[in-house]
Amino acid sequence: MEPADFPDFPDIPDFPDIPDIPDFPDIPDFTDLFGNSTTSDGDTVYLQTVCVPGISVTAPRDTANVNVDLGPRENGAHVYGSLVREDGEPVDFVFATVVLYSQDAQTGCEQMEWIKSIISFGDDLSEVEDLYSMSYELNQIPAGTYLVRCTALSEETQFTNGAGELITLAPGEDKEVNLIMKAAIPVTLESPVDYPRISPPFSFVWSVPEDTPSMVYDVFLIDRCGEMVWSQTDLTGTEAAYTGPALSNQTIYSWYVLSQTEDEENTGGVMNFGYSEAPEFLVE
Amino acid sequence: MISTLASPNHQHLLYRVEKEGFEPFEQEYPFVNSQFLTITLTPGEGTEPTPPPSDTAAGLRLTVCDPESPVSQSEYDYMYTGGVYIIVDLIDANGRIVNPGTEGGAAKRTVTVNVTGSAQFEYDAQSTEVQVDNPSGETITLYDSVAEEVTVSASAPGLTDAAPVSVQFISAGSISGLIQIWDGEDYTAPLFTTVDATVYVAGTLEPVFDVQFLMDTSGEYTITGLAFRNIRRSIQADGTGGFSRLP
Repeated sequence: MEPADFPDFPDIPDFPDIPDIPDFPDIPDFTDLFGNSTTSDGDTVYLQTVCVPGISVTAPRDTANVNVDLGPRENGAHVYGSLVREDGEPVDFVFATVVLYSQDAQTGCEQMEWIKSIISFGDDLSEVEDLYSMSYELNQIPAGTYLVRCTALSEETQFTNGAGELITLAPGEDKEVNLIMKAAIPVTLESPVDYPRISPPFSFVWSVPEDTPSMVYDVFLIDRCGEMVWSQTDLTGTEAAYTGPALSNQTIYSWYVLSQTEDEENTGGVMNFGYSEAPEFLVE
Repeated sequence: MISTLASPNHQHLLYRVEKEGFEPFEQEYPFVNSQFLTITLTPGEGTEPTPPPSDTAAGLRLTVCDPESPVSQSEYDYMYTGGVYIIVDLIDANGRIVNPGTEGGAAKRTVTVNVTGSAQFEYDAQSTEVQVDNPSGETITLYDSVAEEVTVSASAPGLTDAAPVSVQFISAGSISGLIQIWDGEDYTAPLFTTVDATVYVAGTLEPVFDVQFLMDTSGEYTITGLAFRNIRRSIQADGTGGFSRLP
């Protein structure tokens, strides 16, 4: 049997031209997301921090229509710089955060903080010198006085720029602020840790490396709900006998130590711990 | 390891129990359909016997550090804001915490926690099972979108029920509106911009604690949890005390 002839296909009309799809705006870098927007040209717009004063709220009602337009920041200062290690070693930070804290605020609304986070990426973490090179840049910062604080993490320890650096910015100023980073002195909480059941009297014991310069320590004891039970400050040794009120055997207590060198140039950092070394204990 | 071997005449079973640090145990027992045996193992020579898991748990305790909370807002069915943390502990007969991992701690236990009223644990449940398996106890979060007092209870097989605890959810106000950002040409929805909001006590530097900021991609936002209690806590938290600084 002869196959039936297929009918001719009708002419397919010309497909209309697809209009050019506009370039999608670049998604801003992760660390630039906060408070910035991006134009269709990919330029970054630095947004204002807007204060809306005098909002009256009465429970359980909603105060509606508090609308906020975050406009562009203009005529601000440009702050930039590098992070360097005080000991002259190559910078080996994997993560750092630079924060400018406003010093002029009289109210919460004026209390502005400008934050820049820096992440080091690298395919080969053994080639540290180039991969970990760190610099930062903050744009359109409103004029005023700021404290510049920086914390950074290497694969082994944490660093800070000590008490920070006080700077004053004028409108439109270009200001280079290089940050000298000092390694935090590791403080290890020794006893009591790991949920022992102890009997008073007892002492809190911690340690620092042998070559550590003179340090000043504050030790704090808190209860299960985070309420302060006892503290002792300005200690120069690494042990503190507990001299606070009688402790309950029906709860769990935690303790921690804050420290800095006597010259206030370096801070101590409590080593990371998990459940196995948690500075928590119970009372017999 | 426990192994059994039938005797040639099938009248007896040879039981063999082996455990590291203990002498092997071997004994013949009559071959019956079922029987309950108690076997005492003798520590092996020159080895310290490993103490069996202590099961000193006699009961349960619920701890609520902050039993008063503003009502939570449910923006999506599965996600609430705010909430009250409740800690579930195992306790011994003297009320001492014996969570697994504490010195002399008990074995882990599964605990059923219930709440009254319209309050809910995560995933919209009014009853939830938690496993207390670490020294800190188990923390669960309780939400309620209604201002009311609710009661939380806990039970586990073989343990004394926890004394019920009350949680008070209180009315809270909110602020809402629209946030738009300048994209270089116009004010638009903050699609790729992270926006955050902080609430301060008027005329002060005190942030108000425990408020929640929710914003969708259109820029519609709500700040919830605004209760007098939160303002009070904010002021107390930095030690300034008193209420004279309230607006």
